[in-house]
Amino acid sequence: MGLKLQLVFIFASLMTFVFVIKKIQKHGLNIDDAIMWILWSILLLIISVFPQIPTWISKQLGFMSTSNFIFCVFIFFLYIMLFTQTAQISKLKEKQKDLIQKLSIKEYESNKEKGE
Amino acid sequence: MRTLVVIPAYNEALNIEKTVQDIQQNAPDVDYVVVNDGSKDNTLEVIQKNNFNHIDGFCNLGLFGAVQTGFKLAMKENYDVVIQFDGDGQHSAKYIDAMVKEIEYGNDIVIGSRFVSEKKPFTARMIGSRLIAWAIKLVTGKKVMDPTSGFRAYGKACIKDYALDMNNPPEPDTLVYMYRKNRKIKEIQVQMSEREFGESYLNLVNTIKYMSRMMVSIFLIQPFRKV
Repeated sequence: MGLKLQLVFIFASLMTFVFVIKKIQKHGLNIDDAIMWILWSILLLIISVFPQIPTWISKQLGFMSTSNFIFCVFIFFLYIMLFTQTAQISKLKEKQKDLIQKLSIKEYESNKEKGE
Repeated sequence: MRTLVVIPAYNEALNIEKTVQDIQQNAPDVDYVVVNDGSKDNTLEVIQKNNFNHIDGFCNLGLFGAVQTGFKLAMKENYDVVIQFDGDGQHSAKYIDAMVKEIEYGNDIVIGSRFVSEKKPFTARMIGSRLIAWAIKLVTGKKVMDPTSGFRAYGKACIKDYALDMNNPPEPDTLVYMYRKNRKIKEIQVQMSEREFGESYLNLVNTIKYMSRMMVSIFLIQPFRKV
């Protein structure tokens, strides 16, 4: 991995961290949801400051170059994040449906009481 | 001081009766409200049968959401003190008076702590507590003996913080933020009992999740939040 690429990754990791913190400061992001992003930015910082680590792993796994391996890690991270988001959206949909149903049943019951 | 005891209850049908009766007997001067957190067992029936003062949160929000409902009610009805009190019978209502007194003396948060005068045992469960206490000490310089205690009293200024901010769950990491806001936090010695019925959340996966959340939050998020 070249020095330039290393600098790009360091910049990317610091910017991720700063963005996440700024968003939390502005009450736009939940700490629970931010944890993964913070951990990711730290991991990125570690592998860009110590390129020996990804170089060693990529050699073991048979990647053509270290940067290939890092891009692969990026894709894998996004893959996981996308999947967890899909799962979260399912849960939200279910919850919203549940909420509407329970509210409408309550309304139905109170209307019935009024009618009697 | 007008005090509201908030009791979040999720599937606590077996414990809630005893918990509320404890408050009615040992702290008769304070108001209480049970917040049903979308329980799947017959918690709500038990509450209604006994005519306990309650809010029926009919969808599950988790502990934070349920407690926050209580905080919002307290804000609306202009209470001076809110006490967070577990629905599982771990906490004992006889300490409520002492906690309210400490708020009256000018403290903002009073923690019902197991380890003020008693020593913290070296058990597996307490390793997490030690780790969190150490992290808080490192970041704020303040010593919290029992950061994971869920038995806390909050004064008026804090009620607003906890009711309105999305990032102030009633968890140990929020204490760091409260110290940064120069809130006065005091601990008093209490006894807690083991829960009688039902399971607690603590298994290995949840513990690791919880601890990593606490560590990342205490070291990397709370120090940067706007006070």
